[in-house]
Amino acid sequence: MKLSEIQDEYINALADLDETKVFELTEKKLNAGEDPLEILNDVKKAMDIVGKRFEDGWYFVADLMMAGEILNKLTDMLKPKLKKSNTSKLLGKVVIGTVKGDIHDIGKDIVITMFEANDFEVIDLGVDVHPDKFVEAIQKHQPKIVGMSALLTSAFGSMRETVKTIEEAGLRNQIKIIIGGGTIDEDTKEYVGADAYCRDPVAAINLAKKWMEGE
Amino acid sequence: MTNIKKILEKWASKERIQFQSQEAEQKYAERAERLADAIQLKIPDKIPLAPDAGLFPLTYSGISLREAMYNYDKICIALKKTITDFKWDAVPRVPVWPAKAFEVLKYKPLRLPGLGLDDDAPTYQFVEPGQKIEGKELYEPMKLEEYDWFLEDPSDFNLRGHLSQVCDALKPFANLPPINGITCYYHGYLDALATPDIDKAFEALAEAAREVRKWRMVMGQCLQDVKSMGFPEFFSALTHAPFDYIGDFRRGTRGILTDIFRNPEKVKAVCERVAPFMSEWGIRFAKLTGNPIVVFRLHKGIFMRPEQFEEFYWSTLKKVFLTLIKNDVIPYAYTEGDYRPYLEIIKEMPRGKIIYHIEQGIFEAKEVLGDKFCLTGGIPASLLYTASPQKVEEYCKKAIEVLGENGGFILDSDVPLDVVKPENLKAVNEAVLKYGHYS
Ligand code: B12
Repeated sequence: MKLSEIQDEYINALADLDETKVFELTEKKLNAGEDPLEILNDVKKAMDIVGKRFEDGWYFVADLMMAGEILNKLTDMLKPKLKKSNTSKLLGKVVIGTVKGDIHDIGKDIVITMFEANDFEVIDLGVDVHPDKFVEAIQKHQPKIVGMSALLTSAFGSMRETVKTIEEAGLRNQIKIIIGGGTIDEDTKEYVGADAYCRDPVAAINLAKKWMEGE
Repeated sequence: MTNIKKILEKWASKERIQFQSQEAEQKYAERAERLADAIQLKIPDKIPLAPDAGLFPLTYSGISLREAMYNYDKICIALKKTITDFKWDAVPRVPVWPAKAFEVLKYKPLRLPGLGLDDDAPTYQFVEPGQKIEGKELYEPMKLEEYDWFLEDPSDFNLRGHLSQVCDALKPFANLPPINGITCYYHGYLDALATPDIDKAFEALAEAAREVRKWRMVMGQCLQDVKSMGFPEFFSALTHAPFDYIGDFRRGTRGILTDIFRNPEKVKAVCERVAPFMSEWGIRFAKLTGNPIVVFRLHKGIFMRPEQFEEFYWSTLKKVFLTLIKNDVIPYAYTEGDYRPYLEIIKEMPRGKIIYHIEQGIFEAKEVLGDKFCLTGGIPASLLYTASPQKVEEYCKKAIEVLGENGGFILDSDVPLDVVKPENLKAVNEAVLKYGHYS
């Protein structure tokens, strides 16, 4: 088999969420002395395909979750093998959390997986996050982007409060705020005072990349 | 169809209600008929309005959740005020439960004001198995290996494996010997229970049950009161999709959704095992409450591709639906999330025998399902939260005209209301008054 064919097989196995095959092939590649960074590049390509299939309505949440599972296991396996200087360049930092009062995190975790697969460093604040915690995290990590998730209508108020708290701390101008989750729409964005809303994580990443370039 | 007619006639019956006035009696009959017509796909006099109000009655009445979950009379005060002011066609259910019972059991999945949440928290939080709060798992999910235990003896798993896991006060149950091995030779079965901590666990269970009984008494009386004011009760009992029974309460979302890839046969076997229990539960409580309309809140189907939905979720859920229907129960399937990918699948049910609530994409759903089933929904709660009354009225006009066409439709919010502007709910009433009449 040619090298490019093996590569395709690997990417396809991952995009098709064939966990067993992915790990068999990863072992094989490592044993053959392939650079872990190269493998991670293929992983990224496969994740792009997964994202695309989701956008196209072929893949659903369970698929993204399974892809995230495999991805986490793979990075745990490959990261320690990377040479220090060899890690890929980070595009930027994102602080993300589900706002106070709300504990839905399936959507948030998917967005995080996708951001990480696209070379963003993500600081995950978890769920039921108090506005002050957002402020502390912004001060500590100096991200360019802050993401908030909420599915409960009653948590829209928390989002608004969080934006206000960030404003009062004098941090609003240094960040872009993107919100998402459930039924959030343009009206919610206006009500909350965010910069953008996204229902689809791929769109969110494209927007984030644009923001990073714009700065 | 005659079957459904009979079931609903019984449901609408005014027997055993002491009406406050003749007017109340007449209104009750009108409202019940309006709902029953819609359920049978007929055209009622006007569009029925029956929002799932969630915790709105509390916020509207200025009563905190913390107050209401200890003082059940407050729930009833809030309910009466709300229904008097908004005059919906059915009494909404206020999701407030007796906190003391959960406190006694140290029930972990529910976080309540003052019990894990700030005293003034406006809503409760149900936390799934395995979900992390402040970076820590609140309680452990059922383990993968435990599928086999469950399959072999579900009651044993529930008693010793599950209850001990979700209630700290019932932890000692984990040390019970398997009940199926108990001998009845004089004191034999008592020996198994004769330890101080198992004794304590049973005490806790009994105390919690007594508290639930107190709450039930208050709520039961309250229901009689609002009925006597002229408002029928739409639905009462609740049961689950087999997949949700495992996913929501035992394996958690991440657990069960990765299981469908890694252990698909186990998931299917467990759902098959659970299906008859879910049917029995629904039928039993329909009989006990006297209300034949039984709710399903459908949770975890939306995460799957249509073919997976059919294989893992629908295949057993439809059995439960059909068993209920055969037993004169009307399933009320409350779809949560976006069901557009599955509309053709859920269309498989017999015409007019099931009610579907549609949360998202209801205009598409009306086209696909509208002439086969009664649908409920139509008003986005987010609109009621952020928009102006004018905008709400305009939106409702469109909803009434398009979704209400040819009957078979009950106007409802897309998700429970919790916190919305009261003036926007008044605007909904206005819209129904102006545009809601069929003739
Ligand atoms: C699964 C679920 C749960 C699970 C959550 C498990 C978990 N680990 O998160 C459990 C069972 C624990 C739960 C609990 C509750 N839930 Co719930 N839940 C749902 C359900 C069915 C699906 C949510 C979901 O995960 N969707 C899938 C994900 C992938 O979608 P998503 O979150 O929208 O995310 C996508 C996008 O929005 C976007 N996105 C999301 N976040 C972000 C953030 C950023 C920055 C960006 C860019 C994008 C983005 O990307 C994601 C991928 O495409 C919804 C129904 C619904 N309509 O959504 C109800 C729902 C949200 N729940 C509801 C309620 C009421 C509750 C409870 C109060 C009680 C109950 N009835 O169960 C509790 C309390 C929770 C609390 N205090 O937070 C209501 C809310 C109603 C309202 N008035 O607002 C809903 C709408 C159900 C309903 N119709 O009643 N729930």
